[in-house]
Amino acid sequence: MLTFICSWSAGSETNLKTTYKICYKPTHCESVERNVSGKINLALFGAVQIHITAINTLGSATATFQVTKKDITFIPPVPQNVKVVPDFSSQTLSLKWIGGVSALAFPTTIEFEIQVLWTEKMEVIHTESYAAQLDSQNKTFQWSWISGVPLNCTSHSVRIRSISTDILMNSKNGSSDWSKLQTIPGADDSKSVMFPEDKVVRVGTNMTFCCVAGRGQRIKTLVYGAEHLPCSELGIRSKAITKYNLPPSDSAGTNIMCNLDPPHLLGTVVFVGYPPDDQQLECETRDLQNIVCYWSPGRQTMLLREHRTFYTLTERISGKNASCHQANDDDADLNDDKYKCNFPVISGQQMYKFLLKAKNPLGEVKTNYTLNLYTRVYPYSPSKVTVLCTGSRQTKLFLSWGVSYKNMTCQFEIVTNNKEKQLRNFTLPDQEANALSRVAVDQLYPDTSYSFRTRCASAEHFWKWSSWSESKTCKTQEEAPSKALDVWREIKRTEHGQNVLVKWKPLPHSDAKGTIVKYEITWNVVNEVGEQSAIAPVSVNSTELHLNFSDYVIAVRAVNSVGSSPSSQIRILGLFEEQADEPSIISGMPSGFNLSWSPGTNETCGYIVEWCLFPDTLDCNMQWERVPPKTTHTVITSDGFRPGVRYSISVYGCSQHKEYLLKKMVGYTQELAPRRAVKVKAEANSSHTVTLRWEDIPVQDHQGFIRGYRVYYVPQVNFSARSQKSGIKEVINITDPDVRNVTVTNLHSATYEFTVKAYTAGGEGIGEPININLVDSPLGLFLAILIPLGVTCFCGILLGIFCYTKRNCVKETFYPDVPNPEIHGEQWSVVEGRSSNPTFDVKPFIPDKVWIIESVPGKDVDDSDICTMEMNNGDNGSVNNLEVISDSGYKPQMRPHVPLLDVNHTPNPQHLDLTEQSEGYQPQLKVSNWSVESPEVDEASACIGSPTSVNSTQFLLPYQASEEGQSTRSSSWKFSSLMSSAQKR
Amino acid sequence: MPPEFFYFFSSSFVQLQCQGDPFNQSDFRPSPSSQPDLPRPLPEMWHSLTDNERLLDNFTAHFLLSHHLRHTQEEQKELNPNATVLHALLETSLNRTCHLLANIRAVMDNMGVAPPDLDAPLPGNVTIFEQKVKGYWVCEGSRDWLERTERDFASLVDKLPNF
Repeated sequence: MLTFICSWSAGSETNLKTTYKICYKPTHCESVERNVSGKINLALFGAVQIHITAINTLGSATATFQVTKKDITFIPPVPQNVKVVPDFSSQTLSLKWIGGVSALAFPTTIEFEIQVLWTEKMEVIHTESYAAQLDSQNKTFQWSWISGVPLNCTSHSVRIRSISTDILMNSKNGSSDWSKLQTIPGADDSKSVMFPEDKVVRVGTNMTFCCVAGRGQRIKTLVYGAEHLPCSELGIRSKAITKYNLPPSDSAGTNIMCNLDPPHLLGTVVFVGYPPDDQQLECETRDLQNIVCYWSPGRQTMLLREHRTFYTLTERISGKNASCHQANDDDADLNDDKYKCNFPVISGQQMYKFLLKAKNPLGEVKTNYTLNLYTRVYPYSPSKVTVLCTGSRQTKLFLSWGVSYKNMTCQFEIVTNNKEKQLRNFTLPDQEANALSRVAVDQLYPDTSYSFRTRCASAEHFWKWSSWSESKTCKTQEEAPSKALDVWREIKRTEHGQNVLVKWKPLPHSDAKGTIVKYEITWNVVNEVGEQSAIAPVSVNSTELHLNFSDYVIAVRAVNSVGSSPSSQIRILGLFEEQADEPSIISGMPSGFNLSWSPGTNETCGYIVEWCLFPDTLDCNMQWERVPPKTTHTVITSDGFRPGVRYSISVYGCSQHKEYLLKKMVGYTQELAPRRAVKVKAEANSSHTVTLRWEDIPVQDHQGFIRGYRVYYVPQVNFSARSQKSGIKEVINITDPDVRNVTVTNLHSATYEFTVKAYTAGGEGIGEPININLVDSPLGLFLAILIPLGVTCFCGILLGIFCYTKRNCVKETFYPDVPNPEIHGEQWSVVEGRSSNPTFDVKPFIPDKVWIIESVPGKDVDDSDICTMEMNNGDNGSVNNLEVISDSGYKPQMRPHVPLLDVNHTPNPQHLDLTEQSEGYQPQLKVSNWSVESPEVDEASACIGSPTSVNSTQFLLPYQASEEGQSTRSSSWKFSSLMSSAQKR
Repeated sequence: MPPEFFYFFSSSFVQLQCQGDPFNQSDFRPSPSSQPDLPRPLPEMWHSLTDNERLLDNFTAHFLLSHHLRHTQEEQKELNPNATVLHALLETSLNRTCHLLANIRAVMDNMGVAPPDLDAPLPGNVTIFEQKVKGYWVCEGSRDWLERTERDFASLVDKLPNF
């Protein structure tokens, strides 16, 4: 049974005393005195009918209610004994309370709603729900909350209430009243302070800093480093700034400062860094007495001194701690960026389990490492290494260590004086401290300096090689040369005998097996007793022997301090003439020649290939190479081979130690273009044919095999000026390199330039051009000069006639306004009274052969530039119509261009268009043509006057005549005078 | 500038450079209220002070400064372990202050002035920020008191030609 509180509204108030009776079961009624609520006891489940009867003096009234579980609100109890405990350093509020006495006798789910407020402003800054089971009376609950703002910055209050959430109740959820406010006071006002103080936080966190002003002080500014951030007010005396995503601070921390009024500076420092990030823990022993564990610190924590990371390394089996002074030392020098701790080996313990803890104010990391002592041996390099070269092919190494090791596998590195490296492995048995171990090293070369160094590792469980020991050097002893010299000869026969230059190649160090001190040369005639000998110093590689024409056997040996090499023999045949076919042509490569030949008929001891490295010099630097028997090809290479040089190569067969010439070859490693020009001589066979002849280019200038010649020829306009070449360049390609002449046909009468160039596979050489002038016969040349000259003279005469006959026409055309412009024949008389100053001194004449026809009727003279002339030829009676077309521009002084016209040689009437070059108005073009002031001019000529004068006749005169000066002009006037006199006749 | 001034000036400057923003800004000037407890280097009644009083002032100031410098040096070693230049400057300043103190003591003995009975100042439980500000004022105070000492001894030498 539960107790429910029922409440109702009283309805309309009466002045009469009213009592109520609640009946919820037929047998259960309770009276309520002047109240509108009452307590009833009911079972929780099921619907209940409740009858409330109001009774006063006037009567009673009953209301009936159907109440179900849904209509009942469950009000949980108010939390009791609420206590708040602050932790200022961690800015945490811890809340403790008792759930209270529930009306329900069974467990119900409940929710506590907790609110945190800034007391001064009564501002709710945090609300949180706390779900719980209210299953026993006076159950204690706990809750904590970390404040973003330091708790000292302002007073914080907490309150809590219960809310019913039990679904079993299936009723309306009610909430209890709030508990009484529990307040944590902030800093008092005795002095100004800043919070938090000297905190260490992680990079990236958000942090709020506050400044609380003391009594009589006021906050002016609040600054994060040099950064001014938005300021929020927590209360009257307290302000705060929040820095989000804090960056790492430097070693002195980041300063947050509060400036107060009256002036006072407050501050606090925050250290922003990272928690430890130590990783890659590894442990090993170097001497089986101490275990060294090392690790990488990972990311820098950015925290120093008291905030730095502290390390502890614990061996968990023994429970002992390692010594980590080096890692925990403030001024720890990182070795290879690693920290390390030392742990002494515990006697009898082989397995070790290490736990490394790295801790700083922001966190802790733990790393484990387990090792078997003997599987993690990293030996020291040998403390002592001694080398003793005891023979020519072996040596002894002596090694020792300052500590003991078990079986070790070792390597020694052997480096020869020419830097060849060789690694050899060996093993060492258990090694006592400071005991010498001897290692024999064999398979060495005599007379060779070797440097030795060694390193070792544990043989049973390889872990790491030790570092290399220091290098020790020794030189092996000498042996007699093991190989015969490679000997060859160069024979020069004279009438007195044969000079044999015996040459040999120095033995390589591998064959000399010591320092060669001299060479011994012996020779004797074949099948004869009696040997001659000579000694050559080590500095030479040849010796010359003067022999007669007998057959000789020559032997050479190299000698060092221990002995001499096997004898190397060659045989000289005194009367044998070496003969071979024509040399075959071979092509080479930039590095040398790839040679092959047919095998010799009786070759038994291989072949010798011989060539000169510098064929152009007196000492051709003969080279040779021996080819083993049955091998008929080889490649000869040399850095001395040069492109464009012709190399002769001889192959000798060797038969029973007699050498005979087998084949000769010539070739170039790389063909170049000929370096000398082909010298050409030319011979003109006719005006259309030329024969070119040229000489051979010297062989040393070929620089390749001549493949042919190219003949270039080109006609030239101006022989003297080569730049003015014209015409198409012709080419004749001659592919036969033996041809030395060529005939070029189908040429024209002109100057030709011929060039002949030889070419090889490397390109075309240079050429020396020659020029040939091809001309026609002398008669043709003569005619070519005379005809133009004759035509020119005739045209001059014709022009004179033309000018004379057209004089009046021109005057008529250009001077129409001049009084008395037309004077015909004898009517043309000098006007009286003007005789002293005649305009034109022309005497009348009778034109007996030429008729001057007036301008074409209907054509304006001024507009027309066409003047038509009809000439009557007295000889044949034919009429010539001449049409003169002049430029329309006004050009009184323009240099006339009057073509010669031979009227008499123009039998048929024809029209000629004589177009002058238009040069515009050029009145000053020929000043001499119109000079008035010249004292030499006679009166008649003086009247020519200005070029613009209306009576000027100057432009009737041909330009050439006026240009010739006074004499020409006077002759011109004489000519007109002559014509006047003819008229008189 | 005597070489001593250079060291005190430099240590003051370098000290500021090592403390982070805004200490390293040129216009930074902490409020005088944060100054450590030292005799004032330039009192208004300096002229009315006797030679003995001046000597006592000097002795007291440099005695206190020597301890403050030691504290600052230790604090900066902890706070700025890598600032070797600062540490060297503070070490030199401390040595010079100690030598100066010994010389003042010798003069006082010579003049029959008994040294005062002084308690060495303790480092105090202050925040890191307060250490930084105090370090600044210690360096400034050392420089100011060096000037005062130079002035006092100049005056003393004039009065005591045999000195």
